[in-house]
Amino acid sequence: MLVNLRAYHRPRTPAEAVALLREGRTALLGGGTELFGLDDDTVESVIDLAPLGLDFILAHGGEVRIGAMTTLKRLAEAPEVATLAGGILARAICQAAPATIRAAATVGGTLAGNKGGEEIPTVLLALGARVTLAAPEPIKMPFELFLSAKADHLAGALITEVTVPCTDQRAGFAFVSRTPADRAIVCAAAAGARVAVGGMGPHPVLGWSDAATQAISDHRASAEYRRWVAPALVRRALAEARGEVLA
Amino acid sequence: MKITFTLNGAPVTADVRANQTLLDLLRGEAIYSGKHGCETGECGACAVLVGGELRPSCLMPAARVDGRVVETAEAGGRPNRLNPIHRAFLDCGGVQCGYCTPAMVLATEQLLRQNPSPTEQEARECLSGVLCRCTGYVKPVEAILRAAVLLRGEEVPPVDRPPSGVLTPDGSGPAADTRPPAASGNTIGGEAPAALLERTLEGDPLKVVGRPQPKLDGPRLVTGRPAFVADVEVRGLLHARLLLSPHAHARITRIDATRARALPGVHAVLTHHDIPRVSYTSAGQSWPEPSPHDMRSLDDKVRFVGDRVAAVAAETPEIAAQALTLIEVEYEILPAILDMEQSTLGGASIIHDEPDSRGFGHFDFARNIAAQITATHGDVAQGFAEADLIVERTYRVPKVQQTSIEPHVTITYLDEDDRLVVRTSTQVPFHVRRIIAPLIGLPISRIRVIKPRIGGGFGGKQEVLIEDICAHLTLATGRPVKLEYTRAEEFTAARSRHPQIITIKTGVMRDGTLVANEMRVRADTGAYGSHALTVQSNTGVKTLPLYRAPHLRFECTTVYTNLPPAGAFRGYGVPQGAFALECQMDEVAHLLGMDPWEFRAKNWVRVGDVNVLSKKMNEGKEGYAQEIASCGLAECVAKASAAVGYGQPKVSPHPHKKRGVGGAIAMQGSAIPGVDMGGAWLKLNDDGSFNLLVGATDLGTGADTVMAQIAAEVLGCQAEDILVYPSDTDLTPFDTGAYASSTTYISGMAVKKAAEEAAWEIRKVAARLLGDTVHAEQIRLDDRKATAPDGRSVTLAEVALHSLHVANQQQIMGQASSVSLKSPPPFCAQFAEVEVDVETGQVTVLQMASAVDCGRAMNPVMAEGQVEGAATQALGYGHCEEMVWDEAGRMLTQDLRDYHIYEAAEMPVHHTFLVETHDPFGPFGAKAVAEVPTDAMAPAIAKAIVSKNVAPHGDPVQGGTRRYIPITCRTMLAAECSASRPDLACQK
Repeated sequence: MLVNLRAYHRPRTPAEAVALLREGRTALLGGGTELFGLDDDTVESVIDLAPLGLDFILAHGGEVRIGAMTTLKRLAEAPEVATLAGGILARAICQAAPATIRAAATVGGTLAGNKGGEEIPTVLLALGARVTLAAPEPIKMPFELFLSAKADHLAGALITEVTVPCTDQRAGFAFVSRTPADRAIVCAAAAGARVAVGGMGPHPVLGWSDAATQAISDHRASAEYRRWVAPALVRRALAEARGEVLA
Repeated sequence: MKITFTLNGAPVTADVRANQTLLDLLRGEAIYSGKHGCETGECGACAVLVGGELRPSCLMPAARVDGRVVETAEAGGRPNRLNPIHRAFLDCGGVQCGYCTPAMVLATEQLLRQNPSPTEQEARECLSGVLCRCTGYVKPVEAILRAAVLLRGEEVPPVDRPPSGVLTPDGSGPAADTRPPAASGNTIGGEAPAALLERTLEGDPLKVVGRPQPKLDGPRLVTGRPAFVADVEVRGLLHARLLLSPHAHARITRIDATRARALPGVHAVLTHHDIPRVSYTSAGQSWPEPSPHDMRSLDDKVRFVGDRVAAVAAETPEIAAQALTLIEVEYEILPAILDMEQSTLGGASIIHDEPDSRGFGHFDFARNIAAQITATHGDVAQGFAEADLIVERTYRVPKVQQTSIEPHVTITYLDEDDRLVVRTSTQVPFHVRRIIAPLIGLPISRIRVIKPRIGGGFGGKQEVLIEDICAHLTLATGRPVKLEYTRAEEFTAARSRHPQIITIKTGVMRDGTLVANEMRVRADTGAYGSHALTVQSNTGVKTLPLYRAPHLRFECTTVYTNLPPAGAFRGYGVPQGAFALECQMDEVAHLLGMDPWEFRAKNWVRVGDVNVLSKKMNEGKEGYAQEIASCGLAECVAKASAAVGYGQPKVSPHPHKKRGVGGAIAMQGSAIPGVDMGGAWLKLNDDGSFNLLVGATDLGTGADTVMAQIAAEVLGCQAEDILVYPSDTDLTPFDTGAYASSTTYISGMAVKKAAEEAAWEIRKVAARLLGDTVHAEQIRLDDRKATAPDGRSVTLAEVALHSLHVANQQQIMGQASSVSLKSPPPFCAQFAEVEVDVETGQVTVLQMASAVDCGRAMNPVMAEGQVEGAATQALGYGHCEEMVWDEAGRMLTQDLRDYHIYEAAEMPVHHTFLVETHDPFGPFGAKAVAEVPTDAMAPAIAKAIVSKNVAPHGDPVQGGTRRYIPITCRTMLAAECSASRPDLACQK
């Protein structure tokens, strides 16, 4: 419960939102799926990002621009995304959250938050996505750079959009989970020969060797299991990206 | 801030707070169909349509619906004006407790607007994000497909189940038992023996019992009308919160609530200084409760992370939460025991060192032993000496949770006579009243407990978990108080299934004859001994006697640890024992070189056998030997094994995947013999309807409907004519409550007897009305009439009007109680086909089958629903559910993402069979149904993985056999990729 949340801001521009954010003791409101599930008495106001006009999907000039306030449901169902990289982004979204959550959660919230699962960022990383922040000036950076210091980049800034290049490259996505609809414990995505591995550490990383070194143990799997299973998933993602028929 | 939105077609203007959720806003608008099940959107019980999209209302800021269109289940219809979706859910049995039903109805609405002819997979996927713990999703998915047909304007046949060939009590004996089902190799059963197929109904023309009567309380549930504990508005209601211990084991050296009490809006803060110290057990059991009295409402010591420290009642939930942060507590931290194998070691800290805790039976608090059990028959030492082969193996089962979608919730208030009313989500209202009385210092006569509709229990609510503290707060403030657990509190401070380490030693002759079976168990009851003795009794007493052996021995030591307490969970100790025993039977058969089903059939019980251990142990004392009077086990095995193609080669199209099929059997009981008791009272109204007042506690299973069917059968009317009023300690007769599979068997028999008494009075009045020549004995009650042999009749309404208003006036009524020394066991066989990805260890259950001998099924659609729901919980037990904690004893699985219960889209196909036998003791031949299908699915899954057509892909530690559950990739692969268990020390 957000016991001390009393003020509700509806800024009109990203700059206004960033100015409010920098006042502190506040939180950005995307879909609410993470924020409203928190027990946090430090949040005294929220900044609703809905009026910023960030709910869009635009395919243009060899890339797909996805507004940060686009819901996961809209994104997974968008024709631009269904054909993008063999549809692995749509698959990753459906694995990451059930339909009810997809209808609420936003792309920006999923990437900025901590509970969105590994599937979506892993696929975006493999696809060479870039993130645009308003800080308040727009800053566009590769997704790996964003992930490597997420908290720093998001201090006093907000995600406005994600850009995914449209390539002719095939792609692949593989994961392991407890049950078919459970979220991935470890996952791998490949676009051509570019591989990203998620679920090994605090955030997805490019390449297998980095993933292996950071493997963590938690209540879902041991580090040794993660190291054991990841190569198989990487092989599968690469094989799918090569167009080999897989399970 | 002011917002305007459209709610179910009407404009609404509201003033909302920044932190207010849509769920809260809707409740303020008298919309109750959205239910609280968690705080993170994962259960979906709160989901509503916003702009036509189903999404969780608990996560949606109310401010966000400004200008939008919101639809809730209330819009779809009323209980007396149902739409086709509602009808389909009711007819198909898609509603059990009804807590998630409004969200399911909206999900269906959303799907069918876009897709009038969905496939089954699309129907399953539309429920993605709406979790159901009752149904196993089979019937909701059927309902969605049926609703689609109805909405397309096409004809559908009525949902019906043709009367099955009900077996005679010993029917399964000569027909099946003499023919070993294992004919050759792994092929078992296949077709039922001819004698079984020829069996016919025993000639009883039942009209209401045995029919798929839709749930009588369903129309309210399916249209989202207020029915549950939290669905009422109480003027002046205060909100309670509990301060829970952050430490696994600590003494409270100082606690000061001064600052919390000073917070405006706080009405009471209670610590152990403020209430009398009274020892009790939270186990909701008959008096005297056979569980150690080792708890206090508030104590000066905490024994697990999540144990109670203090309680607050305040004007708003926010103030209550803030008050918790202002309570100053100092702890002396004590060494914690987080591993049941450490509990009894010398030097371990003593969890219950207080002088005022009282044990039950054999116990030793100084060694952290909550209960010790031994039950023997014959002499196992002699048996082992005679045996050709002795096999000893150890198995482990995890801590899992009941996970009802409705959390524990209680509202307490003082009524107009200043008596305390406890409106609570419980399986045991009468035990609640008796157990809280001494804690709160009121006589039982000053307390009234009301159980409204319940959103699932599964044993988790056979616990007096929060009623005491909520009542304390009402007594302290004089105000109504609501206390509702969050999902995280459910996972940290409610109950769970006892984890166990089970060693079985089996002595067997070369020809497969069992001579001795010994089961030694160590069980972890957590910080308190709720159900510590009785759950563990079942682990041996209801499993070992499934196989005949002259020498049986069961011993169990249930120990305390500094973990959340275990308690009752559907199956009540049997799922643990059945996992070990059924795996053991396969291991023994394998070592003998015998087919496991030939080995089982050679040794399993049959009609006329006596469960000898049941005499040795019943609720901690001597019990009653149970003779098996009906047994459809052979047919259960034949049906379930054939359904999944046991014995046929199973080949995955993918080279890196292997498939296997496993199966297992189990038995349970029907009520606790000589302990469980229920009363029923029934009266005839002017119009020929009846009020039926029963103490029986329908926790979502449909028990009230079954009670109405039983009464209607006897009284010659329809189930709708019986107005069931359940479980109100002021109004209904006593009942022990809904547990131990007792409701149909015990309460149902009480209803039958009460109805027979009223029927006799009706016949007497009818005979007078029909003239001197007719005798009461000759009157037949049927079709809402009392009919004489010559065909003349009077209606029940005429009988009622005459007896109430005209002559020889009397209130026609009947009353009866039921208790039984017989506890006829239901049986089941469960099979699963499983696929293993040998490169990742991922296990996928492809299909499963459950065949249950439940005696006569009172309501076959509901009985199937019980089987499907139980099997799904058992699927989770075997496959993916486990509570996990860290090295400080803090639960790591605190939400429904980390603790995964199956959702609709991923469910394996489930084949359900009711193998009906006629048991001589239950009402109309009924036995229990709800628990036995939780018992055998986990071992079936485990055995599918080791069955020989799955490559024995390493488990170097355990020789290719899975002797532990759940079978997650983590547990499988930890053994495969190294020679050690996973490196979480706390993981058992």
